[in-house]
Amino acid sequence: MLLFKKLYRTLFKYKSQFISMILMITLGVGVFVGMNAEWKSLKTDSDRYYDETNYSDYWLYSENAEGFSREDIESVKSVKGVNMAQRRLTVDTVIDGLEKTVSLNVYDEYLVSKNHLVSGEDYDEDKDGVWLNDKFADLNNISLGDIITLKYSTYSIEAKVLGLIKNPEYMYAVENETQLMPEFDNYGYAFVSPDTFKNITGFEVYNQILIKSDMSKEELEKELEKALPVSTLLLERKEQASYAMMLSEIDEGVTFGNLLPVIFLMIAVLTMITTMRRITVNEKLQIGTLKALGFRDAKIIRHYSFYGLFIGVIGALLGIIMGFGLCRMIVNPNTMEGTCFDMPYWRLYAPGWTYIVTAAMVLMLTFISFLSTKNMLKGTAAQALRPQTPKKVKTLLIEKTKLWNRLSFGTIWNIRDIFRSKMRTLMSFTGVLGCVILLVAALGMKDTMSAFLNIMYEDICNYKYGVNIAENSDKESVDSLVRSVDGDTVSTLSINMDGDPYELDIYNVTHDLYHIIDKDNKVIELKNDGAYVCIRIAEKFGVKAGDNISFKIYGQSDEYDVRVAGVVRSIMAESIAISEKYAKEKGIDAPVRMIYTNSEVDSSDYDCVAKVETLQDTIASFDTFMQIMYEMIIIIAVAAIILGIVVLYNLGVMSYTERYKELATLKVVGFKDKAIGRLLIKQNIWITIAGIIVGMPCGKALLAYLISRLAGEYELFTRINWTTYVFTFMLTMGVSVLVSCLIAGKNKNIDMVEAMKGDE
Amino acid sequence: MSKIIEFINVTKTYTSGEHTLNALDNVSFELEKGSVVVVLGPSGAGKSTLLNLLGGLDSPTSGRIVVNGRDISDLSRNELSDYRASTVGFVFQFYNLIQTLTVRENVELVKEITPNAVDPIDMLERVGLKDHKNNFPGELSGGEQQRVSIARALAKNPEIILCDEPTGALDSETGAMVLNTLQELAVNNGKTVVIVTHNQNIAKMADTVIRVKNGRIKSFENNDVTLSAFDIEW
Ligand SMILES: Nc1ncnc2c1ncn2[C@@H]1O[C@H](COP(=O)(O)OP(=O)(O)OP(=O)(O)O)[C@@H](O)[C@H]1O
Ligand SMILES: [Mg+2]
Repeated sequence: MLLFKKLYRTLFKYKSQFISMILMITLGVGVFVGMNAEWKSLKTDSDRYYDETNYSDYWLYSENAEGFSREDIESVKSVKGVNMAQRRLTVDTVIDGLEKTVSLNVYDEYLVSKNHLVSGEDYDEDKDGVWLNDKFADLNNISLGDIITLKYSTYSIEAKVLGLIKNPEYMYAVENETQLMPEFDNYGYAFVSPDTFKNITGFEVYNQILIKSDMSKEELEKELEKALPVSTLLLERKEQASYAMMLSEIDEGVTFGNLLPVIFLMIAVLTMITTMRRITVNEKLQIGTLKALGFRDAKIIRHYSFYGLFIGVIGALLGIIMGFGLCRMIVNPNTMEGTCFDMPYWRLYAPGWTYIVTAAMVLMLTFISFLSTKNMLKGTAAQALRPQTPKKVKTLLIEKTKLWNRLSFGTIWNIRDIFRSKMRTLMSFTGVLGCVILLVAALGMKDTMSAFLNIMYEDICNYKYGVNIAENSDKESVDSLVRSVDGDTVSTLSINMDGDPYELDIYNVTHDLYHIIDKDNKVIELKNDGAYVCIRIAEKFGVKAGDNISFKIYGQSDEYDVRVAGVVRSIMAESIAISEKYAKEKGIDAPVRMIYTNSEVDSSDYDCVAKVETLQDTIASFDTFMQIMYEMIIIIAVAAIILGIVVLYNLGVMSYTERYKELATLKVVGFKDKAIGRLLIKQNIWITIAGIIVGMPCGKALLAYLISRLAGEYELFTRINWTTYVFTFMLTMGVSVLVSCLIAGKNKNIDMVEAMKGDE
Repeated sequence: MSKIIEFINVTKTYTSGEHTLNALDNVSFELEKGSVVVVLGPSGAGKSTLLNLLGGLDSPTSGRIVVNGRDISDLSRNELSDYRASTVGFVFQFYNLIQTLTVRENVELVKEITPNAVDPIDMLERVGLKDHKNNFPGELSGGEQQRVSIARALAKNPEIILCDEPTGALDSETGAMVLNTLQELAVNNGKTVVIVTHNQNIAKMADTVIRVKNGRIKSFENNDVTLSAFDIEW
């Protein structure tokens, strides 16, 4: 097979081009498949988990101490459209010996939000024992058969660990809202049967009802209002931290998956188009010869199209492997997503359409080579045999200016070359652009997060200890504690505005331990003149300072009307902040949830203290989160740099090959290797600078878009430090100079004698 | 007249695999300053090899090449570049102009490598192409392009001009014009011009004729009477 031999030789001859093309496609497909497999895997795995455990659709919270009665649950069950309902008690307990928080669950029936069994016996309400989260158990060296004691109020629940389990409601389990990342070793959860609980405590109370229903929240709310005597708080799945976190992680994945790979795939295809065209132009004589030898057009076209197919298939296969590798780095029970979610399933799946897109891409690549060859085969064999005439050089507009004559010949040469090879230039530019955009966005993401943490922990939180107050604590003892530690306090209420739940935070800040910030992240004083609403609420309800806004408190029927005193940034919860004095004026009263203080408090000294956390610990919990962030940023940055290197190298080699004869001529005339190298580097540097100039604002825009998409539930801002710009500039420039030097180094090997001989 | 070029026992050996081939085999000769030298010989004789060694494009395997009293046979790459930039001008069969530079820019570029450069416009005037200075090479005829490459070689103001088949791609009339330009350089400006060619007739305009065969010098003659380039029959 003559053509087969030729195929092999051609592949060898253009090996660097073929390798670049394969690399680009691998990178493109890899990022594409990887990023989409990430969310698809999370979605499939979590859905499987939800299905298996019959994860609840709605949660109904009781606002009074008695909880939900037997009549209540019967009325909920009888509501048309409610498929299943079950009562639940969830309380925070402290595990004896370890002094860590364990959230204890008691189900009156075991139908909804069941457990996934990891080891031991499955939950059975007739058995006397405790079922404990396996991750917490492992990290604290608790094993099956151990006896543990959970302290709740004055009771001690002592039981044998019968099973290690996972529960979907604790998939993303944080102890309280100030934490961003779960700490699996510090916060666990457990289940005991209602009988076990009742035998020890002597009472049976359920503060929640879990509901399975296909109704919408509004419909269900209306029905429940009729069925139940008091107003209650109804939350749906996406209002639950665990589900919401997974959902936003998946959404985030979809956003990334739809955006970033486009840059890579586009550049891969563009690289392919330019490179294939160059190769076929170079091969024109060969193509013509084959034609003159009597090969049919179809056969020649098939031969050359095969290159595209070959490159495409190899690149796509490697890309899919790389994609799953990337995905495994992220979707992994032990690393990135694993530090966030506690899930039983971690299988990888790529969306079916990613394979279709990949296949379409391979076809497209084949088609590109088909078109490039067809272009060369136009006309008779004699015409095909003639070398491709170089495009005629046109006089550029700037040449008319005076300045032109002052330019060095190298500059002139490079400018003309850029204009002669517009496509190639555009490609290099796009490569640099992509690299810069990705770097700025990735590093900017880190800047934004750091700035956010800074504001959170430098400006907002000015205390050392946060003392969480136990529910139903005695007001007197809380007040005396506040006085004795010179504390500031916050109370939190759930409020209802237009049917949606928000948070009302009542602050009593007299020691300057807690601050609120305005839109520009400036600390402002919380005065007694009205309510400070967060930006999201202000936008949603179209209010500004001076307007009025009204809300209802869950569990009460009164409507409160308050004056908006200002708009503030509340990074996490959608909330309204008011001072305690203003709350009193309006007749709003709520128990203290947390005391901010600089004095150390020992939780065992006070009955009313549930837990004391140091600000230091909370900051540390963010470190895990930042770690994940860094890993993600590194992946993106590395991909960006590879992208830059491959594109620039490929095009650099192309430009070098095209100008080979001219470079040889310069050498003959007496130019030194270094001088010629400088000429080659010059052009790359110009293009790189142009790419950087355009790329930086684009990167900023991408970051703003990503933040708005990814952190829509937070009130974030974008922040890009100048160091990010400097670093991006240096990195991109470094890559460009490095690649240029590699190519410039080639000119040492130019064979002048050979090059002067003739055309072919 | 003074001696400008001296080849002393020069051998150039090419090795490809097992084969070794002496493209030049122990060649020695001397050339006078200001003379027109024509190198003749059949294809593969070693003419281009000789010219390339003289021009510093390559170094001999053994022997010495002395130009202007300086031994160029073991110069480093950079020294060879300097030598090419300052001492020799090349003219090839395929004009080897840079397509993206105008005629004027093609000539002007030598300014960047040698301080001796002369005014490019003067050189273009000399080869009769002043009016075409803003054209691109692609817009000129073959003979015109060849004259641009002569102008480029001249602009460096070199002592020696080396031409490998300068008229190979030209018809007789343009060929004669190109040769005439070269001859004038020797006669009027004292440049040493070495022309490699297949064409026996060109030898009639030479002061010195070197015949090469199988890498050796077959004959070395000095002509007493030389013809003008325009009087040569093609
Ligand atoms: N780079 C090389 N490697 C191996 N052999 C070479 C190389 N260059 C030239 N030769 C051989 O050296 C010999 C002399 O070559 P040269 O180019 O000097 O011939 P020439 O006299 O110029 O021929 P022509 O008139 O055809 O141009 C030839 O036999 C050629 O095959
Ligand atoms: Mg030759």
